[in-house]
Amino acid sequence: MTSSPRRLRQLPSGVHDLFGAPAQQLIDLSTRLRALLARWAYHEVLPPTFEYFDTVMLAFDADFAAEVYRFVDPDGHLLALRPDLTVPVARLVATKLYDQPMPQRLSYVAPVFRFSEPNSHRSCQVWQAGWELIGVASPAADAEVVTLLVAALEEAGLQEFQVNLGHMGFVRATLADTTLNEDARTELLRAVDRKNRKILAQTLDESGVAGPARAVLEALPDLWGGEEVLEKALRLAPNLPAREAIEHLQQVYQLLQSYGIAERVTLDLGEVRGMDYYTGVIFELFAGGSGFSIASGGRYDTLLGRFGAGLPAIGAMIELERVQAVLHHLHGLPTLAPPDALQQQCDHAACLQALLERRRAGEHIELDLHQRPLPALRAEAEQRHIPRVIPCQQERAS
Amino acid sequence: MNDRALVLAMGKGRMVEETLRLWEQLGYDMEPVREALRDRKMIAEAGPFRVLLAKDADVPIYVEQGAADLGITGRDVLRETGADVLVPLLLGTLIPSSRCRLALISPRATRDRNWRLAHNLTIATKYPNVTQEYVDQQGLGAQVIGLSGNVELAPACGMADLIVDIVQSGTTLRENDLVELDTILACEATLIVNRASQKLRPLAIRGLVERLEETERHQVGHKGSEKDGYTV
Repeated sequence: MTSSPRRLRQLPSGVHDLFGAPAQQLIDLSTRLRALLARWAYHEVLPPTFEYFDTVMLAFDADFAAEVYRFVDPDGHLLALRPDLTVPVARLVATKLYDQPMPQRLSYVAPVFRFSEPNSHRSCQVWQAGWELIGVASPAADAEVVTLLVAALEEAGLQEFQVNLGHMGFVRATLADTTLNEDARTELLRAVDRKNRKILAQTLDESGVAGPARAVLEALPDLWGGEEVLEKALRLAPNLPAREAIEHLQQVYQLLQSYGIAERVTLDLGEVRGMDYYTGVIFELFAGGSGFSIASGGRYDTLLGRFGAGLPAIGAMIELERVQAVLHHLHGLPTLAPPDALQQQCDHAACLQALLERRRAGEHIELDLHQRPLPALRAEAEQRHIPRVIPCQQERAS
Repeated sequence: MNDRALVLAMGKGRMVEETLRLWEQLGYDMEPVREALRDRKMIAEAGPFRVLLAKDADVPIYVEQGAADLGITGRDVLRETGADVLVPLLLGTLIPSSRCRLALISPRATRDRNWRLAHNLTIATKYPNVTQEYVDQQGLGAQVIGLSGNVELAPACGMADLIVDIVQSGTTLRENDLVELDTILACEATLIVNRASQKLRPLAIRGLVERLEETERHQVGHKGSEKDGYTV
């Protein structure tokens, strides 16, 4: 079957062109975030767009393969477009930077690629700005990454947003106390995830989970709020690892208070969904105007070990186009800034060199290419809100 | 950011009257919504809600995308759209007419055929995604054709061997000389919630869920509804 001309004018589902003001806004956002990350002593990395499929899948459950774009190189190796940037950065550090002084603070701004069904309304190419803090497992490292996330969203121009902060270790440790098989565990976590208390209770009945573990699982949907949540969780914690997770979170929260950002943070132990590789604190960021979380992250202390260097790590990433959606919601669609001046077209050396000189000095100048007389240029400038018209010097002299 | 009205997406179809009565039972004035329905408007301000009147099949999309904070939708529709939303409550008890099943249906004449041995079946349905999942699960050799209504016509005119459709009383089936072969999904209305709204408006949403739960308890006394045998 030959491709019809119509098909050749279309884009695959899940990708789109960015141009005009939204493109400029995304680039400006990236520039500001990169400057911020540099001030926090993070160094930018540029991992490749694709790597071996098997390398990528070291980090994920087999199910995730359905979301990974795969292709074969001419030698027959199976390759994958990066579905995230945490894994490439982890691989980079574990294979090349493992003997450098720790911590390593690394950042990136780049797109990731995840296939989703055409009717799922999800983008398959997602622009991310993210950072990873590798080599330190302390509450101070966690607090730095969360505080940086808050600083980044403020830098992006968001005023009202909320970070939901939890810890994977609490639920993991609780489930370790039960004898659930894989299927029952999945069903249970699905009920917790979808916040359905009744089905959760029924599932717990059926799987025979009782005692302190059951008390934790039933309390999970309501374990959100301020510091008191952690007190409550400590009382419920069925074993030492669960208690340690909460105590760690308490120390992180105290540091967030010291940073002065605790007001932005909702402690939330009921979130059980996340990347397969998270082991410790996890967080998501929400803002009015987006029906989705706009940033997320967490601690992943076992991931680098899969690449041969057992270093602890934590990271966060922001989905830039979701931030833009919130900015659109707050301020309307962006507009492209007009140039500082519109210069009349002519072929005089003095005029053209003056044009270059002004641009070198930092002015944004558009050169007319329609050979328009001054009145027409002034009308154009007025219509496009360009503050100034630079006439040809000879014409002015005459 | 938390004082705006909760946005509620509701289908204009099958369950609309009973759903409105449920909200009224909870003490909310739904008259603006009835008025909007009469005037064919799409948005109504009703008490603490801004109500979006959508096509039944689209309710989960409005909620998933965050255009609505919450919605009421059938489990069949929810599964068909695959929307990634929270499902804090099943509403079969509170909206009894929403109870039905998605079934695999055959003309009476061919009911005893061994479908597994057929290798080029055609199944017509308004639920192509759920049906395809079922076909794959059961290992049927079948092509699924998506239609937008009157699915019974497809076997009657010879376009499809089987259909997958909602069955409530079974009257339509009998009238068309059709029989149920298998239940694919037990259905009822569900309350669905956008994931971000759950985080940003937890108190408002929990309050609503609790009031619905309480109403349900009053309705069924203390026996509770039977285990439905499925996950959300």
